[in-house]
This record gives sequence, C-alpha cells and structure tokens, in this order.
Amino acid sequence: MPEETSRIPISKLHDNLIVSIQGALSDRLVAQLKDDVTDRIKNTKVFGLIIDVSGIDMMDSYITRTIRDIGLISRLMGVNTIICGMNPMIAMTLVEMGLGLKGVWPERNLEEALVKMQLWRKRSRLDARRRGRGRRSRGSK
Amino acid sequence: MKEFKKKIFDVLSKCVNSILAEPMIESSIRRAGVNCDKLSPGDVNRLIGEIQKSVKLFVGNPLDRKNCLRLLNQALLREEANRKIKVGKVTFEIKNESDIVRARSRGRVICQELGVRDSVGIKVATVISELARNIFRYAGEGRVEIEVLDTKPVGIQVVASDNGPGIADVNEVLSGNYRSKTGMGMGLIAVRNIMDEFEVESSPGSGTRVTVKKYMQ
Ligand SMILES: Nc1ncnc2c1ncn2[C@@H]1O[C@H](COP(=O)(O)OP(=O)(O)OP(=O)(O)O)[C@@H](O)[C@H]1O
Ligand SMILES: [Mg+2]
Repeated sequence: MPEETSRIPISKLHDNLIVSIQGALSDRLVAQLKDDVTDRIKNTKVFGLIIDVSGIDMMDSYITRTIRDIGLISRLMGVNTIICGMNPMIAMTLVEMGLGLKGVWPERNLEEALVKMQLWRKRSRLDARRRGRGRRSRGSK
Repeated sequence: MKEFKKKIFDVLSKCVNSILAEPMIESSIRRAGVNCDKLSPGDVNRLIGEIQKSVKLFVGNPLDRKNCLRLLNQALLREEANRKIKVGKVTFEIKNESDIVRARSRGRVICQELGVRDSVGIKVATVISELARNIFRYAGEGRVEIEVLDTKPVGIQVVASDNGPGIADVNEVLSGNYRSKTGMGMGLIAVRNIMDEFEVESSPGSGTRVTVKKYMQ
C-alpha cells in the first residue's frame, strides 16, 4: 500500500476546482478534503467542483456520505458539483449496499464533466443576462 | 503455464478435431480474461468453464460432448488438487485509523490472489472498512480476521470483534429505523446487503462480534 500523502490535492482549471482522488483514503484524509474544499470555495471564485473518483480503491458509507456532503455544502455556497470516473464495480457495490449519491451530478469521465460544467456555465450566464434585461425594462416603465 | 494449456489441448483433441482445439482454447482464454502465465485457482475455474461452453457449441455428437465435458472436469479437479487454495487466516489489530485502510487493502489483495472477480474483492474490502471503522469508533479497539474458507465454491470470511460497549438493540439497528448520532446508521445494513451470510452477536457490556461470509461463484 502506498504511503498516503497528507492531503488530497485540489487544483483549479478554468473556473472549476478539480479534486482527483487516488488510492486508499483514511477517514482523516476524507474529512480533511471536506474542510479544504469548503475553504477553497470561500477564498476562490469558482463556478464548479469536479470530483474525479476514477483512482479510488473502494467507496464505503463514510466516503460516500462525505462526498455527498461536499456536494450539498458546495451547492449551498453556489457551486455545482460533478462526480466522475466512477468504477462500474464500485457503482454496483454502492447500489447493492443501498447507498446513493443523490444531489451530486454524475459524468463518465473528467472530459465529459468539464463539458457539462461549461454548458451549465453558459446557461447560467444567459439566465443572468435575461434577468438583467427584465429588470431594466421594468425600470423604464 | 504452457503445461496447463497443453493438458487442456490433449483433453480436447480426444473429442474434437485438433484444428479446432487450439482456437477453442485461445478464445476461451480471451473470454475468461485470464493470463495463462499466472493462473490463480479462480482463473482455472473460469477458464475451464469457458472451454466447456465452447465444447457445448462445437461438439455436436452428444456422446462425444458428454465425454469431453467429463474429461475437462477431471482435468479441473486434478488441477485444483495440485494447487490447493491457500486456506488460512490473517488477523489485523484495529487500534487506529490507518489500521482500517491496512485491513481492507489486505482483504482486496487476498481476493485478487484467489483470482475471484474484482467486484467480490471490492465488496470484501468495503465490508472490512465498515466493520473496522465501527470497531475504531465505538469500541476503541478490536480485531478483524480475514479467512479463506475451504468450501465449494471458495468462501471468504471476515470476523470483526471487540470487547467494547456492545450494541444495545441489534434488531433495531438492522431494521433501518435506527437513527445514528455518529453516521448514517447504514453501515451494518449495507454490509448485510452485499454479503452472503451475516451475523451479529452483541450485548451491552460484552462486546460485539460480526461474522460475514462471501462465496466466490
Ligand atoms: N463494534 C461496535 N461496538 C459498539 N457499538 C457498535 C459497534 N458497531 C456498531 N455499533 C452501534 O451500532 C450503530 C449502527 O452501526 P452502523 O455501522 O450500522 O451505522 P453507523 O456507524 O452509525 O453509521 P455509518 O456506518 O452509516 O457511518 C452505531 O451507531 C453504533 O451505535
Ligand atoms: Mg458504521
């Protein structure tokens, strides 16, 4: 088993935070990730959060719950979360265990997650513009 | 493991045209997804299964077919006797958080060595993680024993035991109505859902012992 590093790295790409989970995680690392992501969202201007789990060894109830929590917390802070790269056998195990990741959008891999984020981003800009226009036209009456 | 291939070839060429035997073996190897240089007992099992499937496809004559399947079964039994699955037990003391990761990683490796499907290995590792975490959180310390059982099909058993405070009402916890203060209260139920056998022995003051088994189809 590889020695675990003291933190899961969080990188920034365009306007997204990207977390790539590799290998076997201790509970402490998982809890640390939740704090780190929250801090980064507070201190950086980001639109989305992508959690890539393609390198994770397994997902038990604790890891699953923490990822779900990270998604919910981020949502409350105005950031969309996508989980990607889920190994089919881990997905199967989660379903059979009766655990789910409701509230976190799934994509197949990092590329597709980035495309999805871009799409959401465009849509939210359009929405914002539309809302802005509506306000102006009401104001001129 | 060229010898094993040769053995299978000899068996097959007794019942099918030897021009057919070779591609039958090769395609079975591909379908079984095994590496012939490193066959685990589980691989041998799967490979023979695939070869038997192609025998059923290619051998038209019922008598020949039956004979061939019987010979293959004998070859399998001989092979199993040769490389008797390592039956044994490893014990992990669970005292701190990193022990949880160590125990579950080892469970995964044991399954890989047995050559079972990786989905089984993932399940066993997940179960060890849940049970070891419960020990660490609620009992402080305890142990996880991983044992390969000499059953047919091969089984893997995980026993997680401790001398902690015990669980007051096991039935309530397993009913799904239990509200955990420390987690989702889903750990034990999740474990039960993915194992073939599941048993909890616990009472307040006398510790907890969870025994689960998974058989490797
Ligand atoms: N080894 C143990 N010793 C004492 N109590 C235990 C032990 N294992 C479980 N329990 C008790 O049983 C309850 C249910 O355990 P279970 O693993 O199902 O859920 P949880 O640990 O509360 O949450 P989750 O596993 O979903 O994070 C726990 O809340 C705890 O009170
Ligand atoms: Mg638990």
